[in-house]
Amino acid sequence: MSLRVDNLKVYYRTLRGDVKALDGATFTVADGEIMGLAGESGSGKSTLSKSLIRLDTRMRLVEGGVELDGKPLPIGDQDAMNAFRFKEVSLIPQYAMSALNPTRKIGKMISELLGARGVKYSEIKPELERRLDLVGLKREVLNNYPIELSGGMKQRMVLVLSTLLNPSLLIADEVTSALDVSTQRAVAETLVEFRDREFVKSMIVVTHDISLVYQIADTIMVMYAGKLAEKAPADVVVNAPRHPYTQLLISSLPEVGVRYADRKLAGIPGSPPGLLNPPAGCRFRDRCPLAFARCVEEPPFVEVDKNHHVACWKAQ
Amino acid sequence: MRTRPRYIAALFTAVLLATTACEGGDSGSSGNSSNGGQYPRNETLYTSGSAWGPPTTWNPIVPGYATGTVGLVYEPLFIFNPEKLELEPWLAEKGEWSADNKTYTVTLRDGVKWSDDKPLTADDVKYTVELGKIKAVPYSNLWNWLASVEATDQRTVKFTFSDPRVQEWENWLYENAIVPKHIWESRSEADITTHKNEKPVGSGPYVYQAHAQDRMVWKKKDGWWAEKALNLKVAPTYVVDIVNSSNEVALGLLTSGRLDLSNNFLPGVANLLKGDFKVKTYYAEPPYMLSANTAMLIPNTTKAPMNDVAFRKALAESIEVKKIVEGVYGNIVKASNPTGLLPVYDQYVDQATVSSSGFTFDTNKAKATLAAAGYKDTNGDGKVEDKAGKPISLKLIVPSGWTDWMEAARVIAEGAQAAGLNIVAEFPDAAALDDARTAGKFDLLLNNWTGVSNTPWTYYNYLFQMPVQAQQFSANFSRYQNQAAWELVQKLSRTPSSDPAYKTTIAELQKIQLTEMPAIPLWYNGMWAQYTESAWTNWPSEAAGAPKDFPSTWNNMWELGSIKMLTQLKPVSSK
Amino acid sequence: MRRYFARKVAIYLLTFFVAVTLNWLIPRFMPGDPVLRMLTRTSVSNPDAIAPMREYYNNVFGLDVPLWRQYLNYWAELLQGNMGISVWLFPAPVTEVILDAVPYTLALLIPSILLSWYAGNKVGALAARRKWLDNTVLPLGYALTATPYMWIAIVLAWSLAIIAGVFPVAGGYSFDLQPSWSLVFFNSLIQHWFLPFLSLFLVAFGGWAIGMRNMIIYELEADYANYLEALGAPRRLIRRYAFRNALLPQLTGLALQLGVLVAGALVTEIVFGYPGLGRLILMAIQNQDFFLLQGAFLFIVIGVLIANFVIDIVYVLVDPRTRTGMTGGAA
Repeated sequence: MSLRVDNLKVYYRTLRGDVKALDGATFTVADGEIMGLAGESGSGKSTLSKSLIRLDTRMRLVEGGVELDGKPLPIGDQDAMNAFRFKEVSLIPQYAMSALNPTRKIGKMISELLGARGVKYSEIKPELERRLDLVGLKREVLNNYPIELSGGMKQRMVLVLSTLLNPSLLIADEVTSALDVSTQRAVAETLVEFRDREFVKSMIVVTHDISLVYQIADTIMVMYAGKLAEKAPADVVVNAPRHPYTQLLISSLPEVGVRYADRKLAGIPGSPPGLLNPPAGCRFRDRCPLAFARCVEEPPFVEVDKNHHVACWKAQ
Repeated sequence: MRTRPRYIAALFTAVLLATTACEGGDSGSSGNSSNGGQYPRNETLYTSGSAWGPPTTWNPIVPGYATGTVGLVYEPLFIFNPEKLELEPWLAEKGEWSADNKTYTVTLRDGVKWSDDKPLTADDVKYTVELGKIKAVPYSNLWNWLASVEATDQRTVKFTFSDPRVQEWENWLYENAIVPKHIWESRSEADITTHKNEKPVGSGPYVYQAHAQDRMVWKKKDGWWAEKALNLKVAPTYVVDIVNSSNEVALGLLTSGRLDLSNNFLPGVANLLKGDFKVKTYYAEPPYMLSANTAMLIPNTTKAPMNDVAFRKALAESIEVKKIVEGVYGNIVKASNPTGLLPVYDQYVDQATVSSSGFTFDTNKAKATLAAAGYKDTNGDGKVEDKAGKPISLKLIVPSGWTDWMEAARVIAEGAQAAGLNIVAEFPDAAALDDARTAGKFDLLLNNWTGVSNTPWTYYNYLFQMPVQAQQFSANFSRYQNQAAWELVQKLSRTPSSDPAYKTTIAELQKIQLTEMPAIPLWYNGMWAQYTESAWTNWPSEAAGAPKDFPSTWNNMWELGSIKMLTQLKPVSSK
Repeated sequence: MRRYFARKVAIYLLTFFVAVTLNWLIPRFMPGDPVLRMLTRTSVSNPDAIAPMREYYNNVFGLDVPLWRQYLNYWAELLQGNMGISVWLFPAPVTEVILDAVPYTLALLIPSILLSWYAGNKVGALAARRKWLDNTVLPLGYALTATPYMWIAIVLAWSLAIIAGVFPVAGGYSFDLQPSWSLVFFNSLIQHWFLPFLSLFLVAFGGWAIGMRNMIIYELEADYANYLEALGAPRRLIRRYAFRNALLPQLTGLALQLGVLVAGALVTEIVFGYPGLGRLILMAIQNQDFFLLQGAFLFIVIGVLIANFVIDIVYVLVDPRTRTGMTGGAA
């Protein structure tokens, strides 16, 4: 069992009170699993992915815990967490285009970063070069400045760097959203290849693009308004979703392979509840065509089928 | 990285050191005074108020030389005593006119030496006077009326005049310094006026010690001739003249005791005198300062309506000088006598003429004078129109930045407006104003090139000089033409002071000046001088027993007796 | 790279040429006539002397040939280091007058520019991470940078020199000293230098500190900083990167500020009676000494151009983005 998240609650501090952006998530990601994480803006998917590697200054760990490879991950403690970052948990950020310091040669920056993490650059360089070969980057890029690389090259560079120390868990945050379709595909395939070569044990691919995730992910987890809605193998989520939200989400896609935009779903009337003081019970119930009396109680996220978890009274 | 800026700073101070070390001169010897300076405080006189730019020339022939070049180093044959209104022999032992005033014979003192130990002889005097034959030498006009100069022996020089202008000659005698022929004769004609004459060799009590951007340092010379001949010894071993950057800096130096004599114009000095700053002036009471020159309102008489004497009179009557003296200057200047003659010439003022023809401030009288002359307000705007009914609009210009004069100009314009004259004050650049004045392209302006001298002739020459040129550089900026007056000025120049005609000629000129009003005398500018007694005492003062010499380092003032101030100063005994 | 520098040098030479030409041109369009100035100064009262003296001074100042010739002569003389004769300080050559003053101005400008830039950046960077420093540096910086040079100079001169008497009021070194290689003289030089330096330093310092503080806060929020944090890089490394990157706009700012700093130095020199170019320029303007004015401005122009050129080069060395721009990039 690679990653185990247990009742994780992370709130945003605001002047008006806590925004309950992630309100009790419990799930696991298995060794070798690529999990797609989907949901609208504000669903809590970014909060979840950030929580696993670095809480930003406004985020507060309220409750719950995370275990990685059987060891607790001290996500609430920035300093203690540092030991795990890069080595155990790593990140490919959404902004891979601008993730590299523009005024440092890439090799130099990597060497400085590794040095600061207690890893000898010279020792790891052969492996680094092998991986560059693997993603089709010339070794000379290490002597280049980021600006000398194209967007796709930078993306691959970040991919190589983030996984260089063979982390257990890789969080890939909207890695493809800034790329053109052919490059998207290449990046997606590289992610799979890295998993296959065991550069990373497991992966969370945060995305808007269910169709892309469907191609590479083993499982897909759907979030809604700070809560987990459904997690199941990818083809199950796409073909036989059990949560009404997932169903609407999938059916509102014109066809698989077309992205839906980051906006309120046209097919689902209403909008997600505010998370400052979210209503009790199922958070989707105001918009849910199937809502009934019991929905005022919060549905638990339970396994309804093998490896298929749903948080809906109707699905149980 | 962290030490680099310090290194840079050190480097540049070293560069600075190197460059300034080369610039300053010969001595690197360390001093032995208490504060480590090379010029012990009780032997050094610090002055300011004369130089406004770095010393760059020590050539006594061309104005612009370092403070003291003429006076401390180069000396004239005579100096002028403004208290007694007479020449005092200086390098000369005596000077005598022949009975017909056609020749003048100077006998030099025995034993006067240049600072290179060569004797100062009649040849040097002859050489200096003959330099005037070069057009670029400022006193070249001397040769319009001087026929020849002859060194009859080592100590005697005989001047023969084609036109014996006694007063003008006596003016020349003390205003111009003698230069050593043996050094100057090797210079070309162009060099005479363009040579910087570094390390000047003179006859005076001081020699060049050092100079820098912001100072001129003179050192006392051993064996100055006047020690034996006149029993005069200059007290300060060093005279350090500080180049002014602003009057505020001078004020700071003065009040912190780092300056002994400030010849700067320090507005509000009256407050300083009352305060506990140990600052002294010549008079303890207003006007505090001696009068140095007369500030004149110059009308351009080639233009209407300034060409009308009635207009000029009305203008004079409209000005409340008292307001300038008190309001603008805080009583550190004095209102001028209507004649414009400086207080040192009081004995020449013809009181009867002044009371009959003099003007006083009276707005109503000014209005009446205007009305009587046909200046009427025909369009009802409150301002008079000219005789043809056209509006009058005149500008009074003074240099921008001369704050006291700017305020004074406003007071003048205000008074004129009150009398119905539409005059406004304007403040162009000093240089632009110079050009306007020289070329006669102005309506009204202020000017004070009427400094104290050996004779009122300089003043009347300033007022009436003819012929009027396209460009007037030094006199008659009004461009006023009056042949009779000009002949009187020339007559005055030829009249010895002892001649009774001297005083009557001056009286006649006063009458013309008061009735014709070619320029309007307003107030006497002060000979700004503020001193502190932290290092030197016995400064010139009105007090009984105190020296009466002019307390000034301004150019030309040394020859008017300021040099004697240096012989009167007493050091405050150290410790 | 070579082509880039060749182009830069060409641009600077062109700028220099235009600056020199303007510099020559502008005084000639100003009202006033230097010869008239000399005639006024020597108070020619002899009508016969006016014409010959006019001719004489026309020749001395090189004004007796057509304008185009004057212009060519100006260049010819300039290339030999000769900038003509000062009218105000006649007969001193302009070059000499300026060279005497330039060391003082440089001694003020270079340390105050470099140190204020250095210290301002350091303190600004510190302020960006220490709350209490931020709360003091920020208002102080804004106050300093908003203070006119003249004002801070007067305050310093009045309080520390005149009232407290800790520092001298005026001069390049003590008025009772002569330049020498002695500790006393050196000490005096520093004492006289300190207040004018300090007033220039303080005003500039405020601006740099605020600039750096804001820049570094911006840089610490940049993507590369977030990425490095996510990879567990220590704050030290991230701050180092942020500082370095924040320096780049500060460097550009330095180039832009040079002119302002020079102008500030001129004013400061006048307040402290410091014998640099400032007072010379003021007096040259007042005396319509356009040869001296020309010379002084030329020095400033050359100084600013050289400084800009150096900054350009430094910028290229520290910012790879400009470099790829000139090689065309590798991607």
